[in-house]
Amino acid sequence: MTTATTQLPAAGDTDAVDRYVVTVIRHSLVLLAIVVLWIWSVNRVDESALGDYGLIAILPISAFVALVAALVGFVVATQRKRPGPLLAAHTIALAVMLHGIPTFAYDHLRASWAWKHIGMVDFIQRFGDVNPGDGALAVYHNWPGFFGINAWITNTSGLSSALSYAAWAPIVFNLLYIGALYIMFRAFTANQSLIWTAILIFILGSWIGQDYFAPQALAFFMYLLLMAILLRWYSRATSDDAHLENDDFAPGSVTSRLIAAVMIMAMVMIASSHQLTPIVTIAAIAALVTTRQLRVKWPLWAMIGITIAWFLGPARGFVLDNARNVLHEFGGVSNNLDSTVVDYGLTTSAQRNISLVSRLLSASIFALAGLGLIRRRAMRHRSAQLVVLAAVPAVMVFASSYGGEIILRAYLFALPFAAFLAASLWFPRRSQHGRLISPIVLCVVLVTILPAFLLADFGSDRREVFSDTEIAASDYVLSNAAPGALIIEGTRDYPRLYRNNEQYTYLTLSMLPQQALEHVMSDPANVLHRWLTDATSYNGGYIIFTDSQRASVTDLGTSLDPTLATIQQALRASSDFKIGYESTDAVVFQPAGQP
Amino acid sequence: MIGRFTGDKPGLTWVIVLSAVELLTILFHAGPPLQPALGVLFVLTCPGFLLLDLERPADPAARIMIGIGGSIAANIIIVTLVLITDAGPVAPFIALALVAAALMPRRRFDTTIRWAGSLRRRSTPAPQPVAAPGPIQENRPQPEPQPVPETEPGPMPHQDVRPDPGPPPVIVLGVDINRAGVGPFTGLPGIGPDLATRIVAHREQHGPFADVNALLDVLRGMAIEEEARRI
Repeated sequence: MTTATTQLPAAGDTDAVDRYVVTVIRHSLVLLAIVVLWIWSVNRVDESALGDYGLIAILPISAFVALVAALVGFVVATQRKRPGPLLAAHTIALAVMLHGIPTFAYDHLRASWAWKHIGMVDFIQRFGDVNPGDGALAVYHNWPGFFGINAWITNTSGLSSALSYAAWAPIVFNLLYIGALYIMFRAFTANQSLIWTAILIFILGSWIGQDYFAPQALAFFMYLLLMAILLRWYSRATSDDAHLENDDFAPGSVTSRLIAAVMIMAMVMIASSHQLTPIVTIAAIAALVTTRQLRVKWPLWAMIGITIAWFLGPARGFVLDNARNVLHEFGGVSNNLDSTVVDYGLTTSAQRNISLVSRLLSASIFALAGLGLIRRRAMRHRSAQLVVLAAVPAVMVFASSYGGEIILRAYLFALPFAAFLAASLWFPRRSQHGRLISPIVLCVVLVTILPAFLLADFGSDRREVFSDTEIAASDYVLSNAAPGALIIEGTRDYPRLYRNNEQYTYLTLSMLPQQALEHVMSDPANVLHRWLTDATSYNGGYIIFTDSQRASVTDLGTSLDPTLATIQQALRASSDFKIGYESTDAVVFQPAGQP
Repeated sequence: MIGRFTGDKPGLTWVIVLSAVELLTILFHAGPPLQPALGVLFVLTCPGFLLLDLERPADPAARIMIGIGGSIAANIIIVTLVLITDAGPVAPFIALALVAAALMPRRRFDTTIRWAGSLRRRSTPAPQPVAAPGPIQENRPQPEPQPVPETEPGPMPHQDVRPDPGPPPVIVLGVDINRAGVGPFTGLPGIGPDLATRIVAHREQHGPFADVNALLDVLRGMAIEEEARRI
């Protein structure tokens, strides 16, 4: 039965090993050249030229050449014998080259949300504590794990601020995702081409930008690790290839205890670091348990218990305060979906195109996943766990609009499993038939997805990338504002809240109700001056406008365009205001009598 | 001293001890050089310590990711604990509990874990043993978890620990593949002494076979390994 396969290697194997080493060296040198070309290219990006279509319009053609070459190299590597190391190298390089573009190309941390997270780290650095009753950042104070660990890292390393390293977050998180995805996909197959193609499709399809300096990025890694452990060591199902490490799990051994301990720690970390991820995690484990995909049920009860303990323990105040909103949104699928849609009547044609491309990219990956599922069924490979985990994030749409992002978050949680199904369209190869056509089709698909990813992920960079002078304007405000000051801003798309955030009240004009905005517009200088000089409420204040704010009102089609320009003109013309700071892309107004 | 108690959980013990000490240094606002030094030690060594205990899985990627994930999660839990307890009276007790768990003799540690496991097992019906080859099953039944053999002297295990009933019999052509030694295996078609030795070693390392398909899977796996070595 197996005697033929247990023979010693044949005599000619030395030649095969030599050929393999030569192949690895050749691929590595080409990949190295590609990475060097990419670094040279992204360092030539002029971020001041960012326009309607974001990064893709200013990325040098040599950067595209490097990315396409890396994708082609990946596909070529799938055709080699023992392709694992080559595919790993290409995938890691592509993850850095795709998600690390902002790190290498831009001078400063991208996205105003990341700056706000720096502010939360700054708070813990200064106070060594959290304030769950804080108004502006209450959610962070109630789920402080990510910020606490960064405050600890910052203090321990002797850095003054997490700004020193936060820009590297996308690279670090994507490398962690790759590791977690690798061990998770090994639960399904030993086929290295299938595993790495699935990971690459995940990397290319992960366009929603949740891999920045944010708690959800780390919680998502823990979610992947948790799912990997469950699928690998607690699954009922066998893999496609029959003999994998999920057979090696001996109940009661130290290894099993250690893995269970890491799983519980991951659950605690998820529950204490992000408010949405534990809900998705519970839904995912519940789906696996109810469809009898797991050998054990205790992870479900553990996750539910830990989450309830956190929600009704340390985060009780926040949960009770927001329970009404959550209950109001619960079950409102239509409203929750509508809240994610940009106002197409007001936004620019470029943003409409970017939105369309993003949707097509997402739909394409799920279409490929559908075809991959059909192929897996034809090959009698198990897909139940993949289908369950790709589908279950959809329940999030029932629960909440999550600030208009719910459909994007659901997509992210479904993506790893959809990516594996999509990769199953090509691997494992059933025969030599189609040996030439199949990789060409894969190459075409990957190269087609590439510009869609660049457009979808970096298409809004005009409002998310900040210049030296925009940061200087914000620094001017935070350095001069007295505690208790009122800071008025056009929109929230600029570096904000990154220092001393608990000392100020922020008022965002784009967030005002229409009636209040009309009141401001009736006499901008007079109304805003009255607000800023209301000594009973505030201790002075500033008004800050930046190019990134202007870009956001244009891109997102808020009712503030062209109101923002009108307000600026009124303030410039008013003797009640003076300009505290001004540059080509930022201006700060303050009451004339304020020092 | 700790070495006396670590037994087969040296990595876990050190991680727990380091966690407790780190918790205390953060709690009492220990400044440089103690806290930075401990922080660096924690971050650099925790994955390594965790890997000490991971004899399996053999997949190095899995070992590394579990080590990294466990270390990140442990760090965040410690910091979060300090933040939410407001440096209050809870954390020192948790630190002491962690140290106690780390220093606990292995036998008692095992008994505690097994007792916790027995609470779950009471509500879980044992899977039915499969006695003969049948159609390929989608959901492979799992063998009942077996108590780890005790090797050190100590108090009697908790009374909930049940006696070992032995693996379920799985008969293939008259050979019980869950009890047979190398000799009977060589009587099966296609299995020589070398392969029989490996099968028995696999069974001793990973536990009994649930059914004949499990044995076939293992044989196929060995074949794949051989194939891989030959490429």
